[in-house]
Amino acid sequence: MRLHSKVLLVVVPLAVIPLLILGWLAYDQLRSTAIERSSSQMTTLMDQMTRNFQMHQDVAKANVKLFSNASLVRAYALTKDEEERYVLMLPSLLKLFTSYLRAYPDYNDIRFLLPNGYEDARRSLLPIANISENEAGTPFFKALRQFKGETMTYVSTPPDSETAALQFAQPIKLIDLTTQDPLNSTPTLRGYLVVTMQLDFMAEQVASSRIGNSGYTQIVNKDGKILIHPDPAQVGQLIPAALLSKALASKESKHLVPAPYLESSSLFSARYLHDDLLLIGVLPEAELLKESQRLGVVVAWIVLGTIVLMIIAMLIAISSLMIQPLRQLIIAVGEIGRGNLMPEISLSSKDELGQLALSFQEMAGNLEKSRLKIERLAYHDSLTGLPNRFQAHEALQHMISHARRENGKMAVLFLDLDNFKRVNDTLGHQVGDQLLKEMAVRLTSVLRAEDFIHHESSSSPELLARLGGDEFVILLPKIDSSLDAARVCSRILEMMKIPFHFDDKEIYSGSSIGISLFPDDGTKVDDLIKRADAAMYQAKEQGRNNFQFYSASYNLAAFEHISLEGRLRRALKNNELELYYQPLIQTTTGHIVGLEALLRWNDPVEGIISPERFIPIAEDSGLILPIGEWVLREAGRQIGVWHTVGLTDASVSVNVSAIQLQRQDLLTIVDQVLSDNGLQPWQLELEITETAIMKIKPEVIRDLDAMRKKGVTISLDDFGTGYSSLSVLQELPIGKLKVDKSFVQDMLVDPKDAAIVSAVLFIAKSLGLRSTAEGVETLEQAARLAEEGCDQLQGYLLCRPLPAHLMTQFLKDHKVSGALTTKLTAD
Amino acid sequence: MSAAKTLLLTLFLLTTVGSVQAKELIFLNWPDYMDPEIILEFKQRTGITVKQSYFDSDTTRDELLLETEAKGFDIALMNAASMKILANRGWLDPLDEQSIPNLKHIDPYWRSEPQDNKTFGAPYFWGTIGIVYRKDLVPSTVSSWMDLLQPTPALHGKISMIGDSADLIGIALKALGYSLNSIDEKELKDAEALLRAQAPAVKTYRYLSLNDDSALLTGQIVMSMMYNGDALMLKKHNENIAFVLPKEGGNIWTDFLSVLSSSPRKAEAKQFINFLNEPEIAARQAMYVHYATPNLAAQKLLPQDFKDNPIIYPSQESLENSEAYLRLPARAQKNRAAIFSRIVY
Repeated sequence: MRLHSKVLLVVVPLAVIPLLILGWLAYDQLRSTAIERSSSQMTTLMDQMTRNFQMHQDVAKANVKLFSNASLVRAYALTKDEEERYVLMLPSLLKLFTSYLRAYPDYNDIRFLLPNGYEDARRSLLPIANISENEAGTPFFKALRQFKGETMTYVSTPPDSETAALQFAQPIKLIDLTTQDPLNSTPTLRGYLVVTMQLDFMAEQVASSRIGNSGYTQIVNKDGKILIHPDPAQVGQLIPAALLSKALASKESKHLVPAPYLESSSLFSARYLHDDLLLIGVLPEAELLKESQRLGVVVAWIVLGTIVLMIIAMLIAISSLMIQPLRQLIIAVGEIGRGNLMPEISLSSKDELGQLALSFQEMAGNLEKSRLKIERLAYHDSLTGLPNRFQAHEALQHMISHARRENGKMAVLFLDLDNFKRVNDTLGHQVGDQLLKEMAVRLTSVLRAEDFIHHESSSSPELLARLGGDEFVILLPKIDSSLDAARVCSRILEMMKIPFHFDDKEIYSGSSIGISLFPDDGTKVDDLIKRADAAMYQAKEQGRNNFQFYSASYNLAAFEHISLEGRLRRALKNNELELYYQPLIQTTTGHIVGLEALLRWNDPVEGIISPERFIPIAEDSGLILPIGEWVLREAGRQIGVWHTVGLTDASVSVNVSAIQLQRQDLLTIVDQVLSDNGLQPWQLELEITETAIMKIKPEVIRDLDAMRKKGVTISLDDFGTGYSSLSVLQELPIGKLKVDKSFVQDMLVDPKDAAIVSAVLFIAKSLGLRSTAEGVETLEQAARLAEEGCDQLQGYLLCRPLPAHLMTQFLKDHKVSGALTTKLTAD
Repeated sequence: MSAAKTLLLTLFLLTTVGSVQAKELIFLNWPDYMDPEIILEFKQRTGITVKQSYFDSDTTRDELLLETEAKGFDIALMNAASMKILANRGWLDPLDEQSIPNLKHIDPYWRSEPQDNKTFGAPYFWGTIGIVYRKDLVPSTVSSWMDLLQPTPALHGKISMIGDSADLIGIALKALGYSLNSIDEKELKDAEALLRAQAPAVKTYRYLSLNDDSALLTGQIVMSMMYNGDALMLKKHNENIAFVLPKEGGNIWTDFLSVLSSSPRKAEAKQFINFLNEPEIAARQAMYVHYATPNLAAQKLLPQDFKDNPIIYPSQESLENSEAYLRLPARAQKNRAAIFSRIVY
């Protein structure tokens, strides 16, 4: 049951029950008043009817006496001779009777009966045939014969008459003066004068005796036979004996007697009109109660209306006071249930519901705290505060779907401490725990450093998690290649070389790392972790403190990369890098006008390592920045030395990587190099490959432009490989194009290459740029290039790249005339 | 009893009381049934005044006598039936030729009447009963009692009947083809029904006046039962008055003169009866009332045209269906009285 209904169930009866009681009291009061009023109305009416009857009866008695005293009647009674009576007197007698009947229309007939019951004369104005002339056997005449009084009244319901009638009979006792002595003889019975009076006058009264709407009276004889009834159909019926006796018992009473009659309960009153005539008043209770019932109906309507109004009012009140707040609370609780622990409950009331709302909010706040705690417990390792296995899985899942969308690569690193068990066993768990904590700190810092280097990837940070025991996992969400993962691993391994210090104890602990890659090694969380784990065991088998890819093919590349990068870093530090120089010859003069500085790495293990191998690694690892800077400064210093000793006044060309352009303040470095070595800006030339310059940003272009304006030559290296358009070239702040050596090498055999070389040189000329051809190896090539108008030549034909000390010698050798001129002219 | 009659009676009683000394006879008679000249002549001859009191049917006369116990009258006109009963009652004084010598002129036919008639009444006139009507106002010919008893709608309210039990019921029985004296209950019932059906059309059951103000002369009544002589008397006033003896026949009646035993002047009364039976006087009387006289000597004095009048002296064949009233059993009389009271009162 809903709250509405419950409240209504309690409140509605509270209002309705008093109303009903009040209604009932009013109803009862009205009912008894109605009964009383009707009772008096009825008894009054019935008394009136009784009096009326008595009056008629008295008049009739007096009349019959009067009639029988008429001289004609007396004479008739005294006349013994029939013929005399009938011929002489009867017409007159009948005429007399007729006049009586005319005078008293209530009288049905007037008869003269002989003492033996023979009906000697009868006059009626009604067209009723007389059935019998001899009354001797009738109950009426028997009663009459017994009668000793003056005037007899008899109620008859003659079978020949439809309606009941009263008979008034007067015995006529006379002394016949012709034969009897008036003094001494007793009057002899000569006959009876009988007046029959129709009860019509009562019928009229009964018919008009309405009590209320449906109350009525009826007249019954002592057998209960209905003689007069407002409804003619009821005449002749018998009323129930029980009712009759009840009515008889109640006679003359002012009070009505209730009894069931004609299938409805009614009230009765009875009056004796005559020994054999009973007036019964019937008052159906329904009629009596009509008024009170109407009140009852009114009360019922009021109660109903009240209930409806109350229900509406209660519904509104409950709704605004309780249901709405409760609904808000329910919604709020629902929100809490769905996880929103800070639901808004806009309840301003200060009642219990308002307090409940506050409690809810408090509870929600507590829940939120608990949730955070639980979440922390659920997602974090309590010892190190790192995400736990669960969160690692979840994060990995998230990363996988992200990577899948982005078509990216990622790596899972699984690592453990090589000697953790031993530390635990020998130094105790406390130390083990501290080791793990320190481990977590170190791993975090490694990742942070990594993040600093690759700050583009900050959008999806790496994740470090402790899976349990000494097992950690690192998720690298965005890697370009397996090498990124390998680099992280080598940093970790590097870091592990630093000893841990706990309570004055120095602990060395290595780490084995397994790597799995997405999508190569698997696309599902479990697969990736399982495979990273497997790779870690492989690493352990490899002798610990190293890392292994799950797929062995990556291991080699990774190791090379790692070792080259490491060695390159060391080489930079240990000055293992060296610059070689190659001269650039002015085509027209044969003079050395420039020297291109070329980086050489003479590895102690591998010997010379070509730039094609290590430059990409330097670019990948960021080493290109210190290396590039070193090259620029070293080349500047060397050319400065040569200028100072007067060996040459040629410019120096330095190759600049795109990474340098973007991540180094090259302008400042160039300024320093120029000022440090007393160089003129035109004596420094920066070479940028065509492909690199295509990638760089507009602000870098501005830097280049600034340098060019200063006088520094910007030359486009390897031109022809980058497919740059002429319009782009025009906008670039360059002063020189260098034709790539691949075109120069085949220009004499491949017309296509020749066409490119021609085109490049033509473009340079058109745009007012100088041009240099690289890789010139034969005189024919040189001659052709000179023919084509190429400004400068560079290549083995003239001189191979030489270390600084050999170049010094070379410059000394060609100081006066220049070796190249000799060579050219020698041909 | 009508108020008028009561008044008449009262007046009569007063005058009677006032003239006891002046030898006066009170004669209870039908109206216009006595030649006033003859009364004057009697007074001149004897000094006795004859004062008439009137009744218009035998029934009213009997009623009057009953009420007065036959006191206050000296002579009364009687019908045969009543005369017997009144005689039985002792209200009539016997008559004989000693006291009324002129009775010798009476046709022996009446002298052979039953004892009572002979003894207590002197035959006065005899006649019949028929229908009188206005030839000018009744479109159809009248020949049957049914013309009167079942009148055409045009006649409604314009006919009258004689309020006499015997005559009224008698002619109804006759009209139905029954005997005038029937005691058959069914026949009487039929007759009653016939009369009842006719009753709404009947203007009155009182006997019509024979004077010049008669309703028959004014046209208020256009057809009626009437005794033959009366019709002739009226005819003197209007030639359009016709009398017919219906084909079903009727009653042949005789009126008698009786002396009341309560009369203190019985001798004078008999003297008057004797005077009336003088042939010359009786003839004049007949001429006056237009009835047939039973006085043989007087008849001889009557003119031939009077004697040839078929209304006064109907032919033997026209009387073929007619009857005289017979003495009926008492209970039958009672029945007739009841029927009569139901129709007339």
